[in-house]
Amino acid sequence: MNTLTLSRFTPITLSQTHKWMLLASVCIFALALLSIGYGPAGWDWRLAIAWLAPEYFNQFDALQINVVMQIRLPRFVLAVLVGLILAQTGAATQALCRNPLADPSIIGISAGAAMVAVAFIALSAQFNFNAQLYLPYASFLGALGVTSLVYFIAKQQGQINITTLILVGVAINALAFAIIGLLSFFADDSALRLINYWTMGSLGGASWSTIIQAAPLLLISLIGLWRLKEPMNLLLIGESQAQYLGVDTNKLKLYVIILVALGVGAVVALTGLIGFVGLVVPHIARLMVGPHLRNMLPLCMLIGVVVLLLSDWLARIVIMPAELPIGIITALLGAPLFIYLIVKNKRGWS
Amino acid sequence: MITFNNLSVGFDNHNVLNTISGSAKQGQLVALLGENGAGKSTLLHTLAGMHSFTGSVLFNTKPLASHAKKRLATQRAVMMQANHVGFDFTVFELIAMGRYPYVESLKMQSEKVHKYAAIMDLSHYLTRRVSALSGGEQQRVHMARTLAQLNAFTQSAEPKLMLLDEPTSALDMRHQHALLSCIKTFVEQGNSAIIAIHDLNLASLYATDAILLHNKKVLQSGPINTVLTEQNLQQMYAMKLHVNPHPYNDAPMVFSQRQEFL
Repeated sequence: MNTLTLSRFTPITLSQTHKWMLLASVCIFALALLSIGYGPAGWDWRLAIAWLAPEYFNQFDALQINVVMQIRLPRFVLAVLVGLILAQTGAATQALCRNPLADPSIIGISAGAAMVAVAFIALSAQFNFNAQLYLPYASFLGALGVTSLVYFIAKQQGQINITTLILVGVAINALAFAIIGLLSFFADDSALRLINYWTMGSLGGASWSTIIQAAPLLLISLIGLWRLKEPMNLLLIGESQAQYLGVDTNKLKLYVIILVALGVGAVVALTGLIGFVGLVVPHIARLMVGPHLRNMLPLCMLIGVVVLLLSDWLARIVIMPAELPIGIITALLGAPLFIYLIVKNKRGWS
Repeated sequence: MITFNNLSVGFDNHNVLNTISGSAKQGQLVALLGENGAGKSTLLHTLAGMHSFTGSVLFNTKPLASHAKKRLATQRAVMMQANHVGFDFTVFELIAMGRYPYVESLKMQSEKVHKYAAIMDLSHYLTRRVSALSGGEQQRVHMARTLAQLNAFTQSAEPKLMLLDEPTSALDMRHQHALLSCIKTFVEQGNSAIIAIHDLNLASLYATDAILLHNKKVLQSGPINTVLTEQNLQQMYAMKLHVNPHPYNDAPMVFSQRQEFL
């Protein structure tokens, strides 16, 4: 009897997770064909593979191949990276705060990055310098600055107080958006459009050079948080419990904060503010396989990619040839789904 | 195993424990007794390393803070009251967390989880969500996790310590006895446990020693049948009590009688 339950239990949980991950992977593959194959410069799924060996696909001209290689491919890679990062940093922040409603935007990291970046855009009009050139750096600095500020305010007597962390985040969010609002009065017309577009998020600026520029930060965040998933998982049952189980929680929290700041800062610099992904995607994954990060985190990251690819593709085709900010799509898709999930099923959090 | 000397703990300039001393040695199951707010939980948390204190706490003759965290976790486990888990883990997942300090395959981990779940009478609950269980069942899950963390009931060269805060408070009578006899077996294998507990008769049946906390001080400590006296208990609880021998076991039994407080 005992061996029977033993042999039955483990495979069931594993295959449950693997089933969902397989489904997410199939979606990603389909969306990859869709996002690389379809767009204003040509509608043909074969475009998605033609760039690999253009000599076999002589129905496409060099311009089309070039569009795929220089516009659609980097945009696809960026969507994958941003999906992975937003989903993972969302899950990590929720573990850090032990609250399923937490998100990098909650502790003020995204807003801090956005604020500094917007300040650069606005000031560039006044002082005549090229904001685009410095934007990624400004955004990194904003994320890092806010994170350190929040961290040192929340750290009391050697301990990081999560309640203070969240409250400081709320205050910083309010402050950052007030400053963004204020700065937009000083921006000229073109800068205003840029601010507006950028605070709603877009993958339109994707290019190989910006991706490579940000790649080290993105990769450190991705790999670092991935390696911390087991101790982060213990944080979910309480900080003291995690300590009793042998986790150095103060060190862990510091690492998580820095890694989240790196990832979010880089993403905000590349794409602007894309809301709802970090909040909703971990929820969906948790509803599917429960809160255990060993199962939930990989699934969560795959779903993040699905959501990003789908939203970006929709953003590109809904009002073609113009483009919607992707933040509008993620909010339109995410918010109703979020409400539905809350009503439908409370598996994963209580 | 664990010794504390002249231990004082205070919050906001308010002393909760004042220069108390005591110990739990191998083979001792120490009951921590005292009225509400006597400082039982505070003492357990302090021995677990959660509060700052003056005085000394030595675990295996070395200060608590000098032990490597992961290694300490295999030698000492702590189960606290109010183990509310905000995320909805299954029973299996929660017990498996006790295995965090160990490097082992998932198959091995699964075997351990099944072993300790069976001991706590949870074999049929493994796929259930913890939040769907009753308070007593949740308490048993946390106990199974604690046993898993210490790799209990296996051959081990080093003694281990359990710090438990009211582990029986939500259990029915059968599971109260099951849990305490489990701890007693654990202790008899050369380990040690300190449990805060309100049920004096359960303590009397299973504990070897007792520490009576009263007015921030240790009122008396020692073998439990010498400590559980009418005089001590009446002073501690400020009410009339009787201590008589148990009719079937060699243990003092405490009887209260109907009182009028108003």
